[in-house]
Amino acid sequence: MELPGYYEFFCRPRIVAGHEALDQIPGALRELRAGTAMVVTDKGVTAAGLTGIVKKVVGGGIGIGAVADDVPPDSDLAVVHRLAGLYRRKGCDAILAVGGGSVMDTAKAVNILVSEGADDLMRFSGAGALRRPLRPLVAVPTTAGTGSEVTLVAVVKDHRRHLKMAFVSPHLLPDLAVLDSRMTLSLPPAVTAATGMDALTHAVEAYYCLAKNPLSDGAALAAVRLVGEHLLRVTRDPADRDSRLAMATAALLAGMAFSNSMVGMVHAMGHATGAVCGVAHGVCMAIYLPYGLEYNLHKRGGTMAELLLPLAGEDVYRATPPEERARRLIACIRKLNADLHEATGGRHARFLSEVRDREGRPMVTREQIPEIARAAMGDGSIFYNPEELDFDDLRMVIFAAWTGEPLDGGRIRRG
Amino acid sequence: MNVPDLFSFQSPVKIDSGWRALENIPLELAGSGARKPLVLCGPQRDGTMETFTAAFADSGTAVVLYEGPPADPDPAVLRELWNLYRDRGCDAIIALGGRATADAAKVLNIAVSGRPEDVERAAGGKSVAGPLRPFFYCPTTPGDGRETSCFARLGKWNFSSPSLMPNLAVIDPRLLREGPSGALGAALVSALATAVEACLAPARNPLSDVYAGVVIRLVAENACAAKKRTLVLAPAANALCLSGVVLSNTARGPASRLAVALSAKAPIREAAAMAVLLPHAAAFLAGKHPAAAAELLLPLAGADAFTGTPPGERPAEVAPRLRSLILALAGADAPPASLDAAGLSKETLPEAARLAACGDGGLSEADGLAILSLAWKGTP
Repeated sequence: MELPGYYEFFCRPRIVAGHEALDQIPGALRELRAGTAMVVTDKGVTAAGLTGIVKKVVGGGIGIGAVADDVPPDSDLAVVHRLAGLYRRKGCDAILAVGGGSVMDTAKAVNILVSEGADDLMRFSGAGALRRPLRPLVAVPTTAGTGSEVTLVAVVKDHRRHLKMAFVSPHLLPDLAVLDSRMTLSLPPAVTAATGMDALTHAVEAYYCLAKNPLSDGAALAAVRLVGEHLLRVTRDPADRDSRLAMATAALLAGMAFSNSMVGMVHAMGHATGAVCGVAHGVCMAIYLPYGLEYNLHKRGGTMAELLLPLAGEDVYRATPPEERARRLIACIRKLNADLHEATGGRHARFLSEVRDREGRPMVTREQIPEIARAAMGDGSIFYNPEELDFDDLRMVIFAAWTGEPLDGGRIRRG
Repeated sequence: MNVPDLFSFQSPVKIDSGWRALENIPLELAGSGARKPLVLCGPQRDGTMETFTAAFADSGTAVVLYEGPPADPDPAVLRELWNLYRDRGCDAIIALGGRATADAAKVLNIAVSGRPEDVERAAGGKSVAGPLRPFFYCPTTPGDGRETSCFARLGKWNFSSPSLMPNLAVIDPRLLREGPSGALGAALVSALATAVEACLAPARNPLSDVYAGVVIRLVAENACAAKKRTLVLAPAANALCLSGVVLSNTARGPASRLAVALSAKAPIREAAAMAVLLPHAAAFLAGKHPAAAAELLLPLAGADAFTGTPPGERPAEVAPRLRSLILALAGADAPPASLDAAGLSKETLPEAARLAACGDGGLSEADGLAILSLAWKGTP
């Protein structure tokens, strides 16, 4: 276990997990001296019946002052301001965020405004602008992937001015992260598969990239093991609530790992592909992860090899000679993608040219690859990647991921 | 991996660890809205104090120093500290030292975050109303892991609240010293015991397993006697800080309970008792929770030894591994081979077992006596 020259680790939220973990929220909010919560969520969560479950369970023990279930997929400044007004008008003193990344980002941003008594969110953008604890915030994730219930970042878009604002502060961390298997039971298999691969990517990149530390390693290893044991199982049997809880735990652990160690080129390419082509983040992660491993293999093979045991289990680990374990890990991840493809009736894409929109049209064309590569060059995650990448390197990797062919080892940079 | 139907975990302690970590303190204070910390310093030497104050030199942060809280601070010292904090307009506390300094800082934090009377109320079991003022802990000597925990002791008073845990542990190798002979080994056995018993506890969960597993790996992978002791100080300080988080999230296990009881009833120090008891307690728990014990072998022995041991043999492998590890940690200060060899009379065992027993499905008197009897004989 490497102890780096310097590292920081922080994961403040109290974590409550279980099949009926929501029941703990009223008591926890009372301990935080809150009595009236505003539920922040989105229409999809409400349509899936989850807002109703939260209202019933939590509303029995604490006041619910307002329910705002119209958070858009891209967190938006106008929405943040509107929800802050609602919070104030209804006399709320806590936020209950129920949803995915955009809901969490919106809730964190609303919490800044209502806690600071401010009207101008921009004043708090960047790192370190917040100097005191905010009002109570409870995060209830409804996907098992992003880990944003334990991250200290919020990203909010100003659609009117075409701006994207990032807020970074330990004060943005929720007070309580609640993982309840009921919240992910209704996720469709393809979403389960993609979000689960997002969690796996967080853990794997956290483990082999440059800013790792003992605690991020410990969390990453545990997350990889839970994904290895449960992702395929729950994709095949979505009603398996034990595996649902295990995957929610895996996503949280992976969130703990990557938010304290950063991620690398897989995320850089994924962010770019999302921005250029609108492909869902988890789908990009699933496709790019084997390529990130292949590209960095010559630098971090020994470290990658350590992930074979938690992902594939001890029989595979024992049967694989040490020098082949990293390549075996990559093969296992490709096999997992293939198995998920089969388990979802072909909806889980294995390579970029296989990604389709709702009408069945390809979402990523070959002509878009240079644009994706250019966007990835500007992504901050690239700095934590073990091997360097320039535009041509990225174009080569993205093209391979588009075709589904493994990387040509002879074309990988060796810096 | 075991994922229980309901579990919770909390670690409010941020870790800043490594070279020049001290220089981060002004920024961390500013992020907490604080500008003038009261710094409690344990007995320092070798320029520790100069290193610490130099870290603030260019920051503009005013520091109020209080040197030498006594090894066992009492309420009179607390009053003196409260006056100093208030009179000098402090708004945060930094403990620079070991267990006693951390304890004094935690209890002082109850007083300065409310009123001095709150301390006695909290000692009486009343909950501590958090959040308290920003509290940072900078280890200089090996403690026992309780420095970062939710526990504190002041004279006859005992405190327990998650609010007492430091907001930040600053582990800077420039501050770390080995301490008196045997202190480092004893501290690491203490951290190891906390982590091992958490992994074998009925209430273990994936989060406690992660933190405990990291503690065990940091201890096991740095125990090599061939290494210079100074090289293990930073991993050891990391392991100790994390063990305090583990301790705050799990009930005390049999080795911990019995070591405390024995040291109260017999002429043996808690650390020495722990070194003898831990393998026996682990063997006992492995019999009760074989699946958990089998998994414990992974952080303890490493992936290759783990996969090379047949699954059925893994639980039984834990105790001998622990025994070897404890010997390696002790170095020249080898612990006694048994409680008998430590000079304890067999007649003291039933009383210690009675004292250590607890209800709620915890350690029974009979089980405690069984562990003590094996440890007395030294029978593996």
